[in-house]
Amino acid sequence: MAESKSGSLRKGLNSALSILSSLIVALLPYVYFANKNFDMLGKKDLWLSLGIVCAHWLLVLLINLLLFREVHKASLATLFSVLLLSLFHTGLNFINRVFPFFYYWHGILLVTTLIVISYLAFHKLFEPKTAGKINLILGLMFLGLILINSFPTVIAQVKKGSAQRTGSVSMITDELTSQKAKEELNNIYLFVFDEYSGHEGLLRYTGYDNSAFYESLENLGFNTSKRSRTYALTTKAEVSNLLNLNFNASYYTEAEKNEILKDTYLFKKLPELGYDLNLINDQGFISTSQEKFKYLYLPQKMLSRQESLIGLLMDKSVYYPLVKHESNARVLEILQMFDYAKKSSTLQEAGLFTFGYFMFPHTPWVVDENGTEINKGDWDNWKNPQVYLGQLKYANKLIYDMVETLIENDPNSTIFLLSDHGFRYPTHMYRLFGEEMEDSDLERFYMRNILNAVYVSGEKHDIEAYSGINTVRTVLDKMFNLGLGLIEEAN
Amino acid sequence: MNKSYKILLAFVVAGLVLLLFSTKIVLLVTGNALEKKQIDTTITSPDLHYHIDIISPPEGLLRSVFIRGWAFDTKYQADTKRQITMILKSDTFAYEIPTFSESREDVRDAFPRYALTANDLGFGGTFSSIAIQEGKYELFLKVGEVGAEPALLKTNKTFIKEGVRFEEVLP
Repeated sequence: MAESKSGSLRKGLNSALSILSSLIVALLPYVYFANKNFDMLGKKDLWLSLGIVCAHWLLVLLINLLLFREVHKASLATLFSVLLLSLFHTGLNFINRVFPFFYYWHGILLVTTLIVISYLAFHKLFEPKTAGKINLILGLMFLGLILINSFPTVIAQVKKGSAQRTGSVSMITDELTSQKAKEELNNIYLFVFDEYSGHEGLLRYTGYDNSAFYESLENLGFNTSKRSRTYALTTKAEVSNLLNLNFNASYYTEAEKNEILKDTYLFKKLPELGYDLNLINDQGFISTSQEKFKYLYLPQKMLSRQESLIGLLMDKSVYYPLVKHESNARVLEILQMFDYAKKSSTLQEAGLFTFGYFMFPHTPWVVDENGTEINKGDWDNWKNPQVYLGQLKYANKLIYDMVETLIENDPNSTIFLLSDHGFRYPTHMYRLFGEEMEDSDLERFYMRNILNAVYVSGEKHDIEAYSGINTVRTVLDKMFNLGLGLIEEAN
Repeated sequence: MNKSYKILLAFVVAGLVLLLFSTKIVLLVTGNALEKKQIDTTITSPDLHYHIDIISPPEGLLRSVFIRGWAFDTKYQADTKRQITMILKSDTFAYEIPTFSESREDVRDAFPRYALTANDLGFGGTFSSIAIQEGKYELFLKVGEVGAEPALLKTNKTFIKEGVRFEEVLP
């Protein structure tokens, strides 16, 4: 009697382990994408996605239980089919690299064939015991993968938690703050608008004269320069340059640029002067440790490609045709960033350095000049520069509205409006459509033409033809006598 | 050979056949199959006005292209029913693509001298770029009143289908 009891207990345990193994395998894509985007996900998104993934797994398991009427085989079939269904689109994209004419329906036929053949094999060739052992082995392997994948995220979260507990957000020392009392430190705002073309570049590639925008900024007390240029043509290089106030990153590798971004001059020097840091980090682009920032705005949701974890998971799966790419999520994200930027002027009366990186008016081009959403087909339409121009004109409105509020709330502040590079029309026409540039040096000259405007408590400050970096250097020298001086111009 | 192997073999063969012809089947079932035609596009009318507002890049499972615009014949009578079709013309054959009509008050207002009525001045049409054979195509519009002989116009828009790529060739 006792033996039969322990036997049925063991049987029950084995069945439970088989089912659990299939669940672990089904969860791997979820865990992978959740870890990859952890900082951009909200709790609701995480739980909702987990619920849907589990419900999908359960549905497939129930169908398989009906088909096989045996737990181990049903679990093995579930494990196999859920993995195929979850990574269908990823696999299809991979096949498309070799066979471009392999469409969705080909994939469906292939997957259906694979599932039917494997189900027949499980049914005919496998003993339930063997299926149970395979489940267990695969379950352990996938559990290992999940743990390895989650380890860095867990460590990062633990570190973040302990930093918050020890109050290491502010790094002010008595010695350094003694240079100026905190209340005397005027707030500084530095905004970088990705792909915002300078006046000359805009005129060359779109035919649009943006003078009215510059004049409206000048009327608010800004100093502007239409001939400013950057040193590099990529965001990572130029943002690294800007945060370090030199142009060294132009010559670095991608890995080195990432490393530089973790520990930059401005995010060290300004706290030394007594400033707290506030970051607007569109797309999570700035890789500086979050512990350095007293305030942080990371637009929730993920990139422009997908706006939720479940959307991303569905996009990788067999259900991707059902995913609706909603542009308004990106529009909303942009509006929220500008709103937060305005609110930054109410966070502290003094001693706050706000750095905002906006991937705007960069692609995806989601709005026209009136802020009306545009056709999805135009999100990456490099052929028609007017699409870019529409988003840039809308950016003008949002920027003007933002700085007007900032000046109203914080008239003694310093506000930098810069871009990392201009409109890179020729390089994209070459990259996408093979259109050669007649004079690549000349085109680079115009593509490096940027937005450069600064408000220094409403005072005059000549920045004509300065790079963004030199604008920041001269203004910081004016404010704090740092003796930074000018560096070679980007001509 | 036992029964289950026979079933498996039949299943695999049927799967392979489906795999080979599935694109054609999908295009037929979804109504996206296009018939090759011989259309004479040598005579175009000078009385037609047009504009192409949108050409979307291929999107979705069927890589559908959407074209929208307006066109009219200056000889249109008031309140008549009009019809526009798109023609993609290669050197040796053509595809004719039906469109839907829409009212365009903005076009009517822009051409007061023709005393147009706004109905059916606008058009829009979708076709699957998968259904198009590789090659270079010029876009023509066939414009006319229902029941009358339509006239042709050349839009100066050229497209190229290369592999799975379908895009407009820039002038």
